[in-house]
Amino acid sequence: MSLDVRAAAAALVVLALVLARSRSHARSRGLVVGVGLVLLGIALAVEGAPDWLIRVDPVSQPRLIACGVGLMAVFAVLPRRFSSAENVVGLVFLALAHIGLVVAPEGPPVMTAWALSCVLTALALPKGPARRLAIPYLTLAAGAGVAGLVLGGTAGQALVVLAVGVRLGVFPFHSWVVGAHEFAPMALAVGVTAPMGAIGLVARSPLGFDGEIAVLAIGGLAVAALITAGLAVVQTGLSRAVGFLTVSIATVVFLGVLDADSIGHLGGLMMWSLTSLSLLGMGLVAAALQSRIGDVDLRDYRGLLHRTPTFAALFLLFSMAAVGAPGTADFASEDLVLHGGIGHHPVLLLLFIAAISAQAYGALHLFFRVFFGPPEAGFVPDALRRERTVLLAIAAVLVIAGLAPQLLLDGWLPNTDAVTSLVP
Amino acid sequence: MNPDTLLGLLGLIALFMPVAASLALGLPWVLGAQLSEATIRRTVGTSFGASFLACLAIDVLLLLDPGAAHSVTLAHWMALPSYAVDARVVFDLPAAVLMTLTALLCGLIGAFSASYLHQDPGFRRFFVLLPLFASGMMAVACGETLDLIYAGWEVVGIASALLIAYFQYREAPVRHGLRAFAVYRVCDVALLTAAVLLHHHAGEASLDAATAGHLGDNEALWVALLLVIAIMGKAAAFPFTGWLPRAMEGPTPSSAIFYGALSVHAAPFLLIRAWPLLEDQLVARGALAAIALLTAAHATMVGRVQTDVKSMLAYASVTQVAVILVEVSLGFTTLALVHMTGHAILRTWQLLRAPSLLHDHHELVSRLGGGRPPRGTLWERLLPVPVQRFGYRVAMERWFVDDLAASALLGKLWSAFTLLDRIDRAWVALLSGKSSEEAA
Repeated sequence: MSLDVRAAAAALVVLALVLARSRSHARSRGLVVGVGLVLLGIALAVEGAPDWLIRVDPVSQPRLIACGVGLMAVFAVLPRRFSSAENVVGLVFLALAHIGLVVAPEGPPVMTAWALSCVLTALALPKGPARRLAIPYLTLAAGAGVAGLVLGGTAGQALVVLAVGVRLGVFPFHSWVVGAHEFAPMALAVGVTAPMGAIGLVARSPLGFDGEIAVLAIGGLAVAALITAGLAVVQTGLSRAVGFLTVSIATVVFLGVLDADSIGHLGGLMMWSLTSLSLLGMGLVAAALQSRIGDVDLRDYRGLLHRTPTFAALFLLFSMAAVGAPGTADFASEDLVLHGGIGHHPVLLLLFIAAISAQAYGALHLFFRVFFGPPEAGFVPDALRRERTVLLAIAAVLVIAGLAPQLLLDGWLPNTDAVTSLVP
Repeated sequence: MNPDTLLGLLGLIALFMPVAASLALGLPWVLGAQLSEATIRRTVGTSFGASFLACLAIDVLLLLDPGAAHSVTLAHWMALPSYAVDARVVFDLPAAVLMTLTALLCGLIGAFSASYLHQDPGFRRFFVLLPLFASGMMAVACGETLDLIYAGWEVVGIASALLIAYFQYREAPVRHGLRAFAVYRVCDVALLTAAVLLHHHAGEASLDAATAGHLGDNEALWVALLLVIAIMGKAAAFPFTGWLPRAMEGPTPSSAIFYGALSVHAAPFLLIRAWPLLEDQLVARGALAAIALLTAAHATMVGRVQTDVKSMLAYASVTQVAVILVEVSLGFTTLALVHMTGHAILRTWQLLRAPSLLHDHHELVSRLGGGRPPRGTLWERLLPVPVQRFGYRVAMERWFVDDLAASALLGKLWSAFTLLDRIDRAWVALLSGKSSEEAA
């Protein structure tokens, strides 16, 4: 890993520590920052570790950094009312679930990591409706994933895709993820979906778009993304709308990672990391708003722009970045995905582009509903200094990587050959 | 200095000065800092001034070498062992015309708006979005590949939707902003698909004759048809005309720059740029001509029954853009370029004068000595009265296009998604033991 990326990661760690010091709940905060540091440490220091012990490669390294920095960012922004011990432990569980999966060596360790990640995700959700709703889905995901890994072959691969789809909340398995957004604190829900950790199971073994079954599966994913983007538009509450939009975007990322074409797969991996960041930013803004005024009712235009202009600008940037607007990092990764294997299938291509177009409409619709309209009555504080600092840092990464994606390709993913060589 | 290097430098200034202004005004916003109107005005004025001067210099360099097209690589955006995307621009007559027009009109609109929007709560928002729009237009104007053009096209679309919804405390502008964005997105699907198809079949997305030569018959036809569909949104071509008059809910200066001057002309411009791909595609050109003629007929008829000046001007714009599209379909690309330039300048002036229309009318009447100027005969009066009434009704209802779209497509889609959502909520309540209403 190049020195400049190490320096950037170190700077982010220092920033997170400084921000964390300005918060109360010192013990829980320290725990989260500690875990974040450990993850970063793994990413930066264990580069040459043997594969049978831990897999730190161009697939897992960016995820470790994103997860470490993301965890610290979440906690620096996390509203005080969501900083209970239960939520903090939940966030740490989610990080461990994600990380275990991407660094676990092939064979039994990855099966164990998958099953464990399902259990940890269920435990991370607060007791009550969110967990009750999630358990059947996570059980299905765990069973299908382990069975798929044991079976191998085409049937096994199909089961693995099913398992990852259930974990990501791909339609029609979306209810638990949307429910997590609805019933759990938004910050925790962001932890469930934004990192899209489940993709780790297929990141090194893409499906490819050859063969009728694969094409059908990919087409199904594109249609699922389209449907969930449509569902985001008809929602009457911010948390469910964010949930649906997140699920739709995660579905598109999943589709990109499945591409066996080296360019498309690299785009999918880039999208996986960068979309995590933009969804994290979008979710954190939603969480900050939720902590101030509860779930935002979208039956009317809420007019929050007047009270919270900073949140408005950042929400627009993050939501547009998540759907691949020009000038943001996801535009570059989307470009790579489009020029991968999917471009050889006109119908799939059309469905994929229709899905990302529908997501862009859904994102702008959400922004207009929340921030435009007659000014919100009553006092709603805008972004605090710590919130603004962290969100701006994420925004800066997204914009810089969008304008100059080569920096990312040269620095963050230093060995693109190593990534593309992962594709069989 | 090598002319291409100099052109590249000037192109960078023209393209990125508006971006820099947008960032310079947007960053303090998210940092919570206040900026005075004078600072905002000066920042935007300086950026458009520099951009305009750079465009003029490009014009001079092109005049020294008439007929030449200079292809310049501004930056290597992304490079992998087997795939690379460069930010490549081309400086030729069409690019020089649209770039100069963009810098000039955006600068004028900026100066006009500084007074027009004085003390308005959204003053800064307007001046963040105006340069952003200008940079998008610049990318469309000088982009050599469909990749860069698509990026600019998208930026124009987002800025457009946000500016239509500028008066965001009223519901109607917000709804109309979303409507415009929805139409853009539908047509953008075609543009992006065309770009990807070009990459896959020709190896790159340049819009030149060499690229056209790499395409097979079927692929070339599909790309041409997709380009025709892609421009229908921005051009407000039939059946997508309905969003444009509604877009006039935005501030008058942005209406002038978007729907009178630049944004609507991005559509014929794209086809002029892509002419090498269209030239041999008679089916696509025929489809373009048919759509344009239908649009012109629709906009003329509907425009005649409008009761407010901005709507009339909107439909007049659509009519003229449709005529320009017919010119393009017939291969008169230079005529289309001249028509586009004249129409953009005239329409900007008309829209900027629109708020003073009554004053202008009274002044005209007073100068004529108090009498009303004689009215000409309308050709509709030659038709039988029942036909006139039917035509009037149809025109008032805008050919029922919006109603049909709402009831036959959008309404059904909305109902389907609402039903799906209700089923999902019931399922969630069954599994979790708690309904959404209880959670709220």
